[in-house]
Amino acid sequence: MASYDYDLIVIGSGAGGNIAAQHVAKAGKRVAVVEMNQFGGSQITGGRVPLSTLLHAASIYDAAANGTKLGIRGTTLSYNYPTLKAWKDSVVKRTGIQNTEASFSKLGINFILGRAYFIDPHTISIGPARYSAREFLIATGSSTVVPSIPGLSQSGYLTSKDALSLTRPPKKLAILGGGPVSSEFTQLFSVFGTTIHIVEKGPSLLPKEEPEASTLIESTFEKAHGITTHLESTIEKIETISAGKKILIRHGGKQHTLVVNEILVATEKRAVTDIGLENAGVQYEDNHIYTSSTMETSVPHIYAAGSCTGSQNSTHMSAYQSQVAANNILHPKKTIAIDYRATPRAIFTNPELASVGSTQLELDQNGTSYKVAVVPLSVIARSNISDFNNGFIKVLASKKTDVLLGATVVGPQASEIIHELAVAIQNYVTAANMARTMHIFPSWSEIVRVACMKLALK
Amino acid sequence: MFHIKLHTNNKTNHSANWHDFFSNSKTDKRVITKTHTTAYHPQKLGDSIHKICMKSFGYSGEAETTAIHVCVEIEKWLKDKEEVTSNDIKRKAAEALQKYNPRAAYKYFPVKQLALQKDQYGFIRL
Repeated sequence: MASYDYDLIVIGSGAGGNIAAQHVAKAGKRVAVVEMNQFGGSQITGGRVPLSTLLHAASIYDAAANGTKLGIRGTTLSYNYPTLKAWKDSVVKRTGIQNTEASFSKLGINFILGRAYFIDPHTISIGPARYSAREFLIATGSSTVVPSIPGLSQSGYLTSKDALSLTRPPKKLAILGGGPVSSEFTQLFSVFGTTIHIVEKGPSLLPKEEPEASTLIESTFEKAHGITTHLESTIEKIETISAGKKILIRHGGKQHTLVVNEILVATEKRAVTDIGLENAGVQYEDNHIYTSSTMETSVPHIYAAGSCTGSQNSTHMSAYQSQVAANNILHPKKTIAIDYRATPRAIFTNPELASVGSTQLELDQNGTSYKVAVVPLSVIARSNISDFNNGFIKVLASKKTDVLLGATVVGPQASEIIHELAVAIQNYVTAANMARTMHIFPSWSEIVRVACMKLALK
Repeated sequence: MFHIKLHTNNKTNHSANWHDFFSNSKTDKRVITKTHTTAYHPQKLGDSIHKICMKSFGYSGEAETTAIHVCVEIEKWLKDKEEVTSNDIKRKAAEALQKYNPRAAYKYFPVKQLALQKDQYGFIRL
């Protein structure tokens, strides 16, 4: 029997990698984690955590600025962006990166800093050394794809990581792409007074969400923050001029120009696959590594988890995949399959947008018979108390069985409300059962009971 | 008695630009072959690309420029790696070569992805 240096080598220390590493090490296996950049992965150091921290500060500033109606007045309401940035950095530091490193050493996990490259299915090369393992977990994550627009690289652009490190918000910003990342940066900078233009190829913002939700977010952006969205538009060229960056946009047959200070690239992300996958025999495409429902790649002893598998780019998804991979590595005869039925998604705009399960379009495409209920937030008492009525809930259930299939919430704390719907979808709860469950008065979650009642009566 | 020499073992005469480029390109990268591990020689790769371009109806000057472009792209790709396989170099070189000479790219690394596509009239457009 061949002998290996480790039982498992994990490539990447983000959520997709470190959860599996800890599970497998706890079972007494020899584990090593290889990381190319900073420990903890991009979501902690340059993604979700810093962005959410800044968004939290922005929401406080926004609420204070709009408090006059309620009788709350501040004589000089202002912000200091460098202090905000320092606060964000301190939050990132205390997220638990150091603790994880310490727990790694307690569990006997070897942490190797360097770039891993497969030289055969059981060996990787890291700098001058080679390491072999019985099994591998690839959790390399994804990186931003910079679109090939003439003049973009010459004029300079910001990625989402760069935008989080700015010392002050730009005066005028053009955001390329209309996805979740673009919407969250729009929310952040618009609160601090940036004039924003969003350029999107498609016909709407947030194309993967329900059309009603996308339209509501788009109109809120326009009304509340004066944001201009250029839909179905492409950028022909970018030039550097003394006043900033001149962008030539084509919409239909017409051309118009836009002058901004900065350009933020928030388009698609692509899996990091340049790790010698060919030498290991792992099949992949440009934007993802092929995995089975057990998170196994085309090579039985190599697993993959996280956004490199082409799934939703979120920490909770990566962590879930990592857990499934860890279980299947430890118990090859009792494997479990991944279940994406109740995957929650959230976009932290104001109002928040959260969804779970299938969308109406997906059910139409699958040919599933369903019933739908859409209820505005204004019907519940909390909406009146908070003076907020610009949101809704959309719930989908099977026409035959009344079992919940999907839901979308747009409103305050939507990212919290969505969890009870996720539990319901995961456990095949019917709309009638949800409607019978008491919800606290006056809470935002009451809207779930009202919507399920409407759905059950259909 | 006259002896007519039909074949010559003399090396191809390259331009000064070629010699300049390869005399300055030294790397500490390692290449794993089927039998052993060796140092990466950019000139070796350059020679093989030049040869394949010449075989694909190329001109020497054009073949040299293409080979240099390919070597530059390979060096860029190798920047953050210390050890790669010879197959990786071949694959990456063919991918880079496809931009400049698609026919040579397929000859160099004959895989489906690099195969030449026929257009609607059955012609291969280069």
